[in-house]
Amino acid sequence: MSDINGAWAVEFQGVSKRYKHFSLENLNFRVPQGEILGLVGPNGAGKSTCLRLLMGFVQPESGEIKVLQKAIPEYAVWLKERAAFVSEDMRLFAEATIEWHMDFVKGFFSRWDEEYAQQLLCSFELNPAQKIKELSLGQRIKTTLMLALARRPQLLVLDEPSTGLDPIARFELTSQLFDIMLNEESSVIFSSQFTQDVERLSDRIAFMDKGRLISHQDKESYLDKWRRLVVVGDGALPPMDHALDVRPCPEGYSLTHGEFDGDAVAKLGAAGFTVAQLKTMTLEEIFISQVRLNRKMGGGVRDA
Amino acid sequence: MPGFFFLDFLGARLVVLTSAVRKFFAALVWCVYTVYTPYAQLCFMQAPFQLSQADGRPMYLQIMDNIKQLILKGQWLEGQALPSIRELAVSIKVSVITVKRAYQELEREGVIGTRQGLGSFVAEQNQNVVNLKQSELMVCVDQVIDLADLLRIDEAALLKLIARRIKEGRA
Repeated sequence: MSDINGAWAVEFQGVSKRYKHFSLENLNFRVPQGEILGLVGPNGAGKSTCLRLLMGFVQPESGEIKVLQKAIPEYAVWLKERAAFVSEDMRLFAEATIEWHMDFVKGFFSRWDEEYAQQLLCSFELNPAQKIKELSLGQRIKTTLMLALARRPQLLVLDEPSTGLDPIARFELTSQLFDIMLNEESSVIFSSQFTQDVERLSDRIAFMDKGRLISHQDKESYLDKWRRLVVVGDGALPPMDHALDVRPCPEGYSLTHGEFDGDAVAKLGAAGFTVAQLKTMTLEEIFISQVRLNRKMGGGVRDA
Repeated sequence: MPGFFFLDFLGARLVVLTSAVRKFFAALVWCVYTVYTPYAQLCFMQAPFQLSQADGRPMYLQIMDNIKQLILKGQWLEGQALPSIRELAVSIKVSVITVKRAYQELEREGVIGTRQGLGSFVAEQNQNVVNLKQSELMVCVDQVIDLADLLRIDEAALLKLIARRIKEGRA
């Protein structure tokens, strides 16, 4: 949490990266040490690019990136010892065994924890004598995760770790992430399409769409501002920037609000409407509404 | 036949290897069951929580309810130390910030107290379960008042609404 030394695990300041057909524009966010950040957004939002910038794999055109208080990409090599990156396209040697990979990785990382590695093998039900080419997709993903976790990284960066995993394997993965949480100094940044995992695991949520960060805050506040509501009253609703799915219903109107607070109620009240029903929303529902709202508000339209 | 001997030799090595691997795994399983499992069980014993993502209520409210139930049932005693936010989060597999929010709200309601550097405790209010239920009622009443305030329902209208609900309930 932010009360621990107040140190940031990750800082992005005005970071931009342009490709021929895609660009990340002006990313600004900070992740306190010890927190878990869930990165969500539709396909092609720029989540992977963001994570690659963070690891120093690609260079930004402008802006500043600091990871574990060091400038990236200048300290990318230094970071490799302390941060582990897992993505779905991780390459392992098909002909080599899991054990061989463990020995290989062990040689590079002084923080390697053999005892923990054995524990992970057991809980992931991996046989170290098996060759990579004999493994299922799920087992391969678990192997790369095991290799990353046993390095005891200060920062764990996971790009879509649960894609391709069955519910049991996903549960095992999230369980391991909870174990990491016990250590107050380790931070995790992960992108995922599984909103339930993100909702359960993360301390904060960063929402991206079309190369922009459209929301970044602690999870509780983020979930708190989205509501489905029914308002009672006569006449026309006041114009609301953050309203979606406004539909007349017997009592008045039903709508989805993306910035629900006292001010929103006051605004409705001033127009003669009272709130009759309030419902919280799941991250899955918010995800869909957030993307639609962003596009409705003209967000994501590329500047000339 | 030297070729056969060679194969035999290889086969023997394989048998030795697999039995060594098996022993190794047996030892591992033993370690997990004797060391890790009791530890994991201990964590669950500490927090027999019932949480569901399909519940419809926000997770922090579910955690608050679970803790209140544990106190009402006397499983968590007055003055007893609560697990740290991080410990509870890990054992019930919910993010730290959510547990933190639940603790903050419980503290605001006076169900738990926090002592600097010592963590959180079940509030010592010298009250029995009935009192705790009464204070829970007060909390609900406060919530109704807050909500009415938020919805701009005035006192008279709120009282009327409550009277009507009571009547409906008894009819």
